[in-house]
Amino acid sequence: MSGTGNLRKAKLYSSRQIRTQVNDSSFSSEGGKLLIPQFLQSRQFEIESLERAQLQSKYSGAARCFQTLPRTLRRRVASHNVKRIPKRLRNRAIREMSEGTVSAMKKQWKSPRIRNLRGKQRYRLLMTKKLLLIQTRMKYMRSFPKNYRLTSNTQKRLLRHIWKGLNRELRLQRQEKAKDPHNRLNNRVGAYDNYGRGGELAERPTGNIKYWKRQRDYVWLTSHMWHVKRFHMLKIHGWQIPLLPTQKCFKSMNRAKKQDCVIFDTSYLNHMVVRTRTSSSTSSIFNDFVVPLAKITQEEAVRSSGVYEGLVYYRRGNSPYMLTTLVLIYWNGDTAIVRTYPSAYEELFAHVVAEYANCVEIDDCRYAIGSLELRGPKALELLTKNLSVSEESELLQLWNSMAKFPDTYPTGSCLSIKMSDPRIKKRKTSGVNSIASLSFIDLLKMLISHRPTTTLTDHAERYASYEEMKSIKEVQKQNAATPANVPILLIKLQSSSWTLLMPWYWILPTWHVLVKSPKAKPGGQKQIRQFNFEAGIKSYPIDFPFTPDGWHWQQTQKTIKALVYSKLPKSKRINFDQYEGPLDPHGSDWEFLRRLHYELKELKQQNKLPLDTGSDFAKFNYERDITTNEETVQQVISRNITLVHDLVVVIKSGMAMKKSFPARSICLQDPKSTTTNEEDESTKIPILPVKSIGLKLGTGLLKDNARIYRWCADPSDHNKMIVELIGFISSGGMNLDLGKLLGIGCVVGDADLTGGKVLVRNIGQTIFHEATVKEL
Amino acid sequence: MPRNTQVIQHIRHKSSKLTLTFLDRECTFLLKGTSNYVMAIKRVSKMIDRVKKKYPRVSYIKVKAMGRAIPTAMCIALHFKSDRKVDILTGTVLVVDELHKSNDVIVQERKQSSVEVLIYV
Repeated sequence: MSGTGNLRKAKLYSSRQIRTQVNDSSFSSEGGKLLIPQFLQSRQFEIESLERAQLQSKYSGAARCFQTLPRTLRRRVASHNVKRIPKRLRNRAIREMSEGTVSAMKKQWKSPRIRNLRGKQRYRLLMTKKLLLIQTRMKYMRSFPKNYRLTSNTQKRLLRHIWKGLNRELRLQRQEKAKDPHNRLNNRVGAYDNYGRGGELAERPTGNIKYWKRQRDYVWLTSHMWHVKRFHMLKIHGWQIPLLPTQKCFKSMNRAKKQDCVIFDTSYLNHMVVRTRTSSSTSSIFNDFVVPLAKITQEEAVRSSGVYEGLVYYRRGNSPYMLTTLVLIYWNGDTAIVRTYPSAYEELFAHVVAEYANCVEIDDCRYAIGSLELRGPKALELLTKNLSVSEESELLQLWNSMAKFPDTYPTGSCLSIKMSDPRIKKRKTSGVNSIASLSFIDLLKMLISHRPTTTLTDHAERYASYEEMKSIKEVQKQNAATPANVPILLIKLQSSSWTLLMPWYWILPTWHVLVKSPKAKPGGQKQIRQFNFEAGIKSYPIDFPFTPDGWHWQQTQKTIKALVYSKLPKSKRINFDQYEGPLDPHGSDWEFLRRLHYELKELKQQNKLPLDTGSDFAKFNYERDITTNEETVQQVISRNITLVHDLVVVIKSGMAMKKSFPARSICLQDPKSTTTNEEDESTKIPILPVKSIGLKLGTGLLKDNARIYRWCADPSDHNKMIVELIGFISSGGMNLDLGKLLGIGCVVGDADLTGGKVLVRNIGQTIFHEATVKEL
Repeated sequence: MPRNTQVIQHIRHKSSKLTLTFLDRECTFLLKGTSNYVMAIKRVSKMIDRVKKKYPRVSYIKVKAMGRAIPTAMCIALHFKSDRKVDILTGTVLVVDELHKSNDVIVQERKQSSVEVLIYV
């Protein structure tokens, strides 16, 4: 052992030696002159040997081949399992293992023996075995999946209950099989079109019986098992969403977005399909549904060419508050697809059913249509190379030539086409080069003239696409071509960003194929936010605090931060009172800004502005000045405001007295919205209209929830600056594309931004940074 | 296009540059009309150094420009001409205009002059 150690040490020492030119011939003995060419040559040799030595010493410590691998290629237990090492290094790994002390372990998995178990464990194992047997039989008989959701009473006898239910169903199906052959699935893999017909919500998919309990509250995506091994997941709004990869990827994702392609499974975004009831010439889906819902004009419709992505406003029943949410509407002919976020989906669905059910039919396709998102210049190349479309299609040439011009198509371009099983491919076409090339203008003309009527909205088509769908084993055994009957819809939503819609159970096979490509890098929700931020685009719901979802997000973040702060030891807590004054230090204090805005407006009418800071402000003290006593609060609120201090005390006392706050303190200043006249019923103070802005900072630091102030030449008087507050940053940080600090946020609607400059201050700091601003 | 038609929106499409390979990306500098001359000089110099070090087989880098950016490209060529071999290739690029009218979309081609400066490393 000691011998090996010495050898290793010797190797390390020798690698650290840097060779130098000992006999330097550049100093000539004649006349003491320096010979420049020789001198330069010597220094060049020394610099090169220094660089070489750095590299050598880096890898000299590595005793095993996997230690030199980059982080993305390292795997768990690679030290004794050669299959975890890339093939090119396997022979070396085997040699190292045989030479060294580490021996290859052969771990054999042993199933738990039933005879060794007793009681509850034994019962559960037996029952699970029975369940799996029945499930296999049901799968073989191609029966529809059973919904295992049970009431709390039956949960105690859960397994037995399910077993009984499944058995009963099996018996029934045996009897009915002869009667109605259509009451069965058309494939063996359990794919079915789970949709809610005629204004009813679809049943939540339960997944495989083995894992049904884990999916009771949060629905799994079809690619869940793939993601859960590689991603941090987020349980939110009834879905389990991939949040971000477990490996560090902030910079590499930025590079992949700029050079290759990043793909996302966005099937957690919910779709509903809307169809006109009558086929008369006067009624169309655009006039009957899209215009009243999204309030878009004919001009906007032409410009958007059949795709609208933006906010919609609606009111539920007699609620005083307007609801706002971000939607994507695609319409063509007599059908439309509406896509929205899972948090807002059910309310929007109920609204659409209540308002439009008389003229349109509404299907809930949350679990029937899935979507993938591809961002980056190689997105089209990735799709056209890996997905094979129907060869009879007239669009085949368009499909094959599209990737030649990666980011030149207008936003809103759509393509509806049918593809075959992506896992089965005879040979890989090289996409761009294989087809006689079309010029860009021909392609564009073809794309514009082709108004896609997608069959994705049709239940029968989606059902037919699953006809004899193969399992992975079957694909491997028999690689015969399948008919191209899977309807897909491709939409370009932003620059270099394509959204691919397809039937729900085709997402996973497509995902597996796409993700294998070295050009594709899978990303999560955080990467979508990162890319939006880098492009200066708002992300839903974070940068939409005026919507219910955005407001809820901000309040939750505030609560979390306050909780984390309260757990810190006193020595580690920042003294926020000193820096933040009356503002909530854990987030954006929109309620304070709303009251401040209207108080200042009133003072302006009374000609009391500008207010003086006064000497007393320096001794500002919450506990002393702000009252929560109901008797004294009226006195405080009605006091004569002469100082900034008075103003703050009046506002904070009003806020402290108020038990319940309005649903949201802000709304969007938008001509389409009618929310600007809303007011908080208890205080009669109107809700504050705001607008979205983008900020760019030259130097300094920018973080989330930074405060935005009106620009003034001398912001040194920190106390007085509170009256200059106009908004908050919702996401701020370094933009890797620009190499600059960027912020996205909201300011009050009537803030004057003509100068293009504002001041920004981060939470817990006193320094004001100058920033250029523009409306988004 | 007839004069009296009202255009709601005019989309100027980017030039149809082919998908660049990794090496192309490393050895091509795309110049915009708004690009700063000094910035471009600095970045091209850095690119030359990098290419020389990393890709010994590559003999030149390309600076591509079209329309308004051509004078800047010429200035860059002149700057590097003093100590390097520089070639200048002129050409024409087809660009596409998409004109949205009230109920119609017209797609038409336009020719745009372009220049490629090859700076030998």
